[in-house]
Amino acid sequence: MRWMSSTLILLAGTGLPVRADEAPNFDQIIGPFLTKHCVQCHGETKPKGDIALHQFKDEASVLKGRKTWVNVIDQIRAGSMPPKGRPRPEAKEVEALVRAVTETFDRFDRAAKPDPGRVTMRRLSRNEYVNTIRDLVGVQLIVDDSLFPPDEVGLGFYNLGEFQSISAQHMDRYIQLAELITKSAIVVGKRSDLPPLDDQCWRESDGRGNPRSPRFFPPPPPGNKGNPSFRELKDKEPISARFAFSTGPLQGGMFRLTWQLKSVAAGDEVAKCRILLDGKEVARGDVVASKEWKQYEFFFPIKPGEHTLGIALQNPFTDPTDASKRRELHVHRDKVVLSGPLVPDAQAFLLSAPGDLTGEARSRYVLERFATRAFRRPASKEEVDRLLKIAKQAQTRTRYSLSDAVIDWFQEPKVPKQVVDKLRSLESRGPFDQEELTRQLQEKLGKELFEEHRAAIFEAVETVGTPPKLVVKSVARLSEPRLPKAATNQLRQFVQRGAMDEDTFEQVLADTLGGHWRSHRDTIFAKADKSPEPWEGAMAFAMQAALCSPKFLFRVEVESGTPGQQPQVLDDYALASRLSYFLWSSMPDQELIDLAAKKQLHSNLAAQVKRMLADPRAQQSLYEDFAEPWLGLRQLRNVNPEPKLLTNDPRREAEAAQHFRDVLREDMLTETRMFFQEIVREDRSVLDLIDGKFTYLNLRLAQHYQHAFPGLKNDVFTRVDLEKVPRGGVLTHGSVLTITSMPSRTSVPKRGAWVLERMLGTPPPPPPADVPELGKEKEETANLSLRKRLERHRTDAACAGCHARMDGIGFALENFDAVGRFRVREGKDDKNPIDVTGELPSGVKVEGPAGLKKYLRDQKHMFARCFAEKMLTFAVGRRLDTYDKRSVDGILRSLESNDYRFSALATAIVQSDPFRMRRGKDQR
Amino acid sequence: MNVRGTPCRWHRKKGSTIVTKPTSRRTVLRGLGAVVALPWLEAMTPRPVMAAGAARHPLRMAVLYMPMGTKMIDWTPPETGALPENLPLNLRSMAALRKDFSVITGLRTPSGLDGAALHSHAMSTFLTGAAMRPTEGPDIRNGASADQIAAKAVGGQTYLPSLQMGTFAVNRTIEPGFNPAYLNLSWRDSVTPVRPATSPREVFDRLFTRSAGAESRSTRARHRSILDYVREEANSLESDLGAQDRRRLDQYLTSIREVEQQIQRVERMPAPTTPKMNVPDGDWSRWVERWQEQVRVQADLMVLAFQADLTRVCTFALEIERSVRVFRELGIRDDYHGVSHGNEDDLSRIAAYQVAQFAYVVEKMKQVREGDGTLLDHSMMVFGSAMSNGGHNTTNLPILLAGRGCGTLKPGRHFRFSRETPLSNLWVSLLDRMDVRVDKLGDSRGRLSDL
Repeated sequence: MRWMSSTLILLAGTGLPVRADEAPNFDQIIGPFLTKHCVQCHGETKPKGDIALHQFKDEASVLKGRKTWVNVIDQIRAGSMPPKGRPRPEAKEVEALVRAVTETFDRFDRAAKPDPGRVTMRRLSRNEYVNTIRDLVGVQLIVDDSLFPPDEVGLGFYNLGEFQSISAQHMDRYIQLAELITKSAIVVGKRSDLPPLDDQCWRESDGRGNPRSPRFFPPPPPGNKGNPSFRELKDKEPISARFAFSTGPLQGGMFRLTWQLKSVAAGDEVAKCRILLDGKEVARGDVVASKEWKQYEFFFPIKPGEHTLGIALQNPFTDPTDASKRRELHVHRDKVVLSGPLVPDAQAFLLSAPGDLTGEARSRYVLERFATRAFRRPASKEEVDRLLKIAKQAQTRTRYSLSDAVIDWFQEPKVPKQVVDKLRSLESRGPFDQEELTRQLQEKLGKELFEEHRAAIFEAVETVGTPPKLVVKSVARLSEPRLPKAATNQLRQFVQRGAMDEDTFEQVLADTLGGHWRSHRDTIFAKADKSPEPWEGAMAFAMQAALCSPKFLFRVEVESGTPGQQPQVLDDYALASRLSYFLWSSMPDQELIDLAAKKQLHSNLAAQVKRMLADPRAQQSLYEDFAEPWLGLRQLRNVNPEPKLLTNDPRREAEAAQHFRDVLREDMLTETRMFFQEIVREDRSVLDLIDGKFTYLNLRLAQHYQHAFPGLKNDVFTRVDLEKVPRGGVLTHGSVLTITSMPSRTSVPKRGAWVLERMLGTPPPPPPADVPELGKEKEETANLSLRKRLERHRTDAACAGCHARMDGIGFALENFDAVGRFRVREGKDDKNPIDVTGELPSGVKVEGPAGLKKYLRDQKHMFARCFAEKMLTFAVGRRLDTYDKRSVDGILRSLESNDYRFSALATAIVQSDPFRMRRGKDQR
Repeated sequence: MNVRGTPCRWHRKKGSTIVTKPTSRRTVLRGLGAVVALPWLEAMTPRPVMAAGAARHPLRMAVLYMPMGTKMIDWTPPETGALPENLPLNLRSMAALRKDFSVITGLRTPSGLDGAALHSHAMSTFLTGAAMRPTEGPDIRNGASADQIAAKAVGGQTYLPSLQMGTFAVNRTIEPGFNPAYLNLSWRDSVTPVRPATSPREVFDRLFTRSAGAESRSTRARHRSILDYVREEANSLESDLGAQDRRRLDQYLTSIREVEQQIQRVERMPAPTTPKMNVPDGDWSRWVERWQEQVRVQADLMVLAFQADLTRVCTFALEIERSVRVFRELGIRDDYHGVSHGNEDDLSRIAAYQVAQFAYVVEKMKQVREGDGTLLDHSMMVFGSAMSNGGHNTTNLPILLAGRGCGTLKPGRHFRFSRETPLSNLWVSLLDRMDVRVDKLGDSRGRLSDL
């Protein structure tokens, strides 16, 4: 039976290995409990629910019946057993039983045969996919819900292989995304003649796995090229200006936006602008106050198609004492240039090959290198062959382009002038039947000329009357150009554009020609210049295919030579991937791959962990992919507290709610992010998560908390020392306090359950099915305080067991309201002082946040075990099992002897058997 | 999203300068939402559904799900038989449609311990009637759902075999002890939930992005060769994998096959016209505060899909069990799940609010002419919950059945079944009408006669 999934049975207790001399005795505790409380119903004759407990006569039999015991302990702890109406065991009795059973299994597990476990192959999670693409191809994807289906969550994490799935919706998106990605990275055909991105550019990676942090910089002089057709949109505020544009004949990719801006200063912040692509922020920057226009430059990726581009002031401000002093963003409506797609230097890298390689050898070289990076291990000959095959398929495709000659042809009259002149005499004559008209025409034109222009001439012929007769109408129409002048003029722009693939060609022309397209489609395709797909396009297509391969999308750990019945040490490449996805949520970089190639990774793990933790990628992804799910903070974006909690002024409620959603919520997350990142960056003790006496605040959040710290600003988070305020540790962060509250009030049990589950690793079981929750008995209890109501709730035996554990902890946090503000009173007009004393089932009293933190600090072994287990789960991508217990013990020993430093934990995990090894595929 | 034509209000100074005057972002987003609200429904040319003179219109089935039940006294008409003019509180919004739907009471879903079930339990068995396995781990087990059985049988005739919709991604809510997969209504088989599209954008994409209008022959050819390539890649892996991994790889191969089938269907069938509309917003956070609008845009897309015969089977979870949405627009302060356990009257109001959305979509279906009847005449539309109230009670469920089912249903009545009648009997009866014969679905014990 898995431990984390179903129960506390294996986790409860002290968090420390049990010594043999403490071994519980079946005869003293378990046996008597069964006799006293259980076997009457669950005995030999007709056991209820087919659970027969009389069969457990000694420790050996208990060990065999693990599954049953997990269930038994759950039921007893939840208070559902013994059932209502039966004598209830005392809390002390229950605790003793749980401990005895737990320790029985503990001892057994620690003596069992070692087993490193086996992870189900993992699909790249959304974040992992985005990061891997960034490091592999140099394209930064913007993550949102339309990217592909959201990741499955298992035990709170998003990367556990056994919980994941893959569906047609995934596949569909993977194929389309791969196309977008390769088209952005590799621009086929004529490029925009802009210079390549240089080192200062806004970009997170250069395609070689070296990340750079995004930055905005003051601009070099403008380039006025490639401005796609802009149309100004009239808009509502707060957008300062917005344009609709189409990338038109251009492809998607990285674009450069230059814009002349200036600002009027007010308040103590500089004006900040946000660049909005289709309403979403893609870049931001500071606009300095000046009288002169200044040019600003932004870089961001744009997909092909229709878009809107907007600019808005991010931090509006009006001086409270003088309403005329307002921060303003001024936007020059004419001096806006969008240019691109820029030739990504990723392209040069992806397609580069030694100069002496030509033809197929060159393709092979390029694709082998790409596949090796994409599959994160050397690509086999067969794999490269397959890619070559698909590249060859691509090269048989046709690209289309328009030349001036083709366009000239469309400008010619439908029928030559001399023919038209000859037909004038037939105009408005008739009607004729078919034969007669043909004869007349042949007479006028001669047979040869007639046959040549037959189709065009009949455009001027109309059918009239019944039976149908033919009349030659408006001959002049025949001297019009084949395509109207306006249309051919528009077509001229595509001469510059060069060869396009069939889709782009069709799409672009259909957009340009509108109604003319349908009637001229076949002619244009026939007349267009044709060329075979160039080599770059073929490579891009093969790369697109590789990005859809299961070897890219999944983290496949290839079988090594050892027999499938034996645990095996992972091969160095698989280990490199485990390392990089654990610490970076991305593919291994060159150094890891080089070490793997030399088979030196296993022996260099500690040094590599140290190097990798120092990389900014580690701080980013360990927070986003590990800490945020562990703390449950992704939920915060679902939470919308009641506006009344945010402001006392009923007229400003809407504004306050908006402020919370747009600003405060993100500030709260930033606090936790920066706090956690400092622990990683400075290699602090993980116990600081409980009660670290520092945090990061900006002015807004500090004001929300109602704490005064000197020197805070809104746009910068500053590290602050918390000696003088009653905060410190994640439990006192607004983020955590808000997600553990109801929208309109705090929730004592929710907070308690959160601590039990996420900090102590002993989650309470789900509530029994048919119990009304708080408020059901409203009439009689409406006048009672929350505490009184909870106490009444706990008189129900079915609730009591768990609520004692949850509420005891939750009450200690009552000093924080439902949005994380400190308070000492509550209720109408703040009349009621808050009682922050909680009592745990063991009788320990916990008073206020400080008391709770002290209590948790006293339980540091449990906290450390919980934290280590969560991180190991995240690192190996599977639920932990009983056989992992020994490894966890080892990791904890190492953590404890290294002052609980974060790096000690990461290193010990990486060096543990579950991380470095796996069970053979045919084992068991 | 394209917002051309949004009404203008902006401020100019000195020719080329625009001065920002800050207001809330929400104003603008509201504006965007308004653009989405479907001017195109009538403009859309429905695909010719059948050859001239053909006698039958296709029969559609839609299931709209409401979580957490209601206050049954506000739901249940006092008498069985013809529905009274004065409908119960929850159903008032359906008054004008009194002759178009029936109220069904007395049905139940499979229960857990002690005759009650937890939220995930209830929702996952709503359409399956299966003995699901309550687990938090990956060892999920449920049963095939009625809509998926229907899709398997009739889905090959349409562009999309079936459409699943929701308003909230299931991975955003967690019920302790349950794998979040159990918050899915549709199940392909006992271990494969079918994830709903949870934003108008996603619904739009499912209906139209692979349609011939949006994708060309050459794109399809390219995608086909990629699919061939990745199949070879997958096959080359197989021998290396352990049992679990092989199962995952099978899933991958299935997904490849499905995309191929989708491409084939596009090529085989007349092209659905992509409606002239602004592609709706895909960012979930933009919709979270505008539930009713989201529901209606998605419902409109469903009607459109039925009308153009892009699909014949649809499930739509208006919310999920244990939802933490706060219906502030109703003046309710606590989250939905909290309300369900605390305040019956508020729960009832939220239910009425959802019935009003059902009324909206039924009315919409009724307005679409099809042959000499309406789209509603050729549909079976179920609205209901797997819980009868906030006490986790799974008997006497609130169920509505609208439409005439191509003449097989006689709406306008209240049916009361005995308390032990499984809800799955209803599904079996509806599947019969789609010519999908199943002897048993989950815990079904026969059919509901006389509907």
